[in-house]
Amino acid sequence: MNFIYILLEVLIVFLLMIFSYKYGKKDGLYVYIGFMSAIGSIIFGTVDILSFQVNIGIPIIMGIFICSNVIIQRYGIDEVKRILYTYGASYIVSFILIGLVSLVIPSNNVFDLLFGYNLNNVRCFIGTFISIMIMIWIGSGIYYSLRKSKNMLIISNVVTSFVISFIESLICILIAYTGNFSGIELFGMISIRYVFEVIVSIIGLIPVYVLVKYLD
Amino acid sequence: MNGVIFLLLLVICIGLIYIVHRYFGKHEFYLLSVIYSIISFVMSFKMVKILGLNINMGIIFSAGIIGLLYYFVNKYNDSESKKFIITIMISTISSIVIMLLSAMMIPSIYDENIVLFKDLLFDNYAILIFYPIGLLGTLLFANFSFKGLKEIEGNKNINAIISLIGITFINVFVGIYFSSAINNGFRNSHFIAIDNYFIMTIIMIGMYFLVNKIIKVKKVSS
Repeated sequence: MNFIYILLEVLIVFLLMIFSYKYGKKDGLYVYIGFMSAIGSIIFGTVDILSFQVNIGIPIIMGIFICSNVIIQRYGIDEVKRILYTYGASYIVSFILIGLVSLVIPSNNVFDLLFGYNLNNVRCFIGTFISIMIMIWIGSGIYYSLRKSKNMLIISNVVTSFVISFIESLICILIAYTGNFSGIELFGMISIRYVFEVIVSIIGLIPVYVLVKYLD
Repeated sequence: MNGVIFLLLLVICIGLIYIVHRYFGKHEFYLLSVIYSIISFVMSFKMVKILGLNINMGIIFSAGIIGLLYYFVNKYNDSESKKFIITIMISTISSIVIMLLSAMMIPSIYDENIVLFKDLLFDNYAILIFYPIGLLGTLLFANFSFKGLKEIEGNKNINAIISLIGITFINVFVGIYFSSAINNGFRNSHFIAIDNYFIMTIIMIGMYFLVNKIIKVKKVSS
């Protein structure tokens, strides 16, 4: 059942990307990155898939990554700074403001546990923040050099996601979960996260194709 | 402490509008509106007591969204304000759908967040229905009123205050009264709605004057 829900999440994430581009072009894609960053700061949790824990925010992370690839593909490497600012500002503002509310008393226990500034949440926040910043920064470089040497959409996207998903999974899991799980479990979490990110990015070739080739 | 955090959030809400106006452009306003819509929706799950009044924390950023709409109506043309309303509604509904999907997943044995998500959303399911309806009604009515206000010549403050009282009424009585009535019973929700109506009206009137001042501030880029 979890598979179906995650697939639905992937579908919504990609449909929103296409919709954002259709109605807002480049700036629509930036609004999309901001939206995904804000929603990504409140969606965290893990589900069991193949006996390993998979983060439910992966479709959102890959949505941001694929969107940044589309922006680089269409508008060049100079856009990477603006992508990083948009992502960073939206993610930090949303996390801090929603967390501030959890300090208000009398407390709604569920709200505070979910969005409050506790150690686990802060670690997840920092892990995701750093890993996605690195993912966008290094990923854009790799994507752009591949695009320059071989302007083939599939190769640029797939190779970039193969390389960058591994780095993202490693950094995110190590920062967010070291100490909470054993070494083997961490290895499993990194592997399954990596595989899942690659699968989502391969599905993401569909919106990339639609945005780059058909929508103008 | 509660009052301090409430005021701090208000200052941040209006401060971000000021910063975006001064240093950035129209597209960053869309970005800000999308962030406000998510924050406002999530905060609407938290009810707190400030000075003896039951206040829904979502009203701060709901007022921020209406302030942004006022800015759009005054600064840009009609199609931009319609685009603004569509952006807000799509981002609100998409965030509700994504949060619902996350809550419906079967969590791993180590995970607590999805269970908490389930509790938060399903114990307050009325918010999921009435919040977007209230927001849509508020934005449509606010757009209509602000456009009318734009055409009035001379001092329009009295008319603006009357229309803001009406706009707040729709927001509070659709978005907060009914959701709170279904979640907590009708008897308690009368007082909750009146408290929120009182506070949100004050915030909205303050927001109206502040946004008017912000519009007059010269942009750095120009």
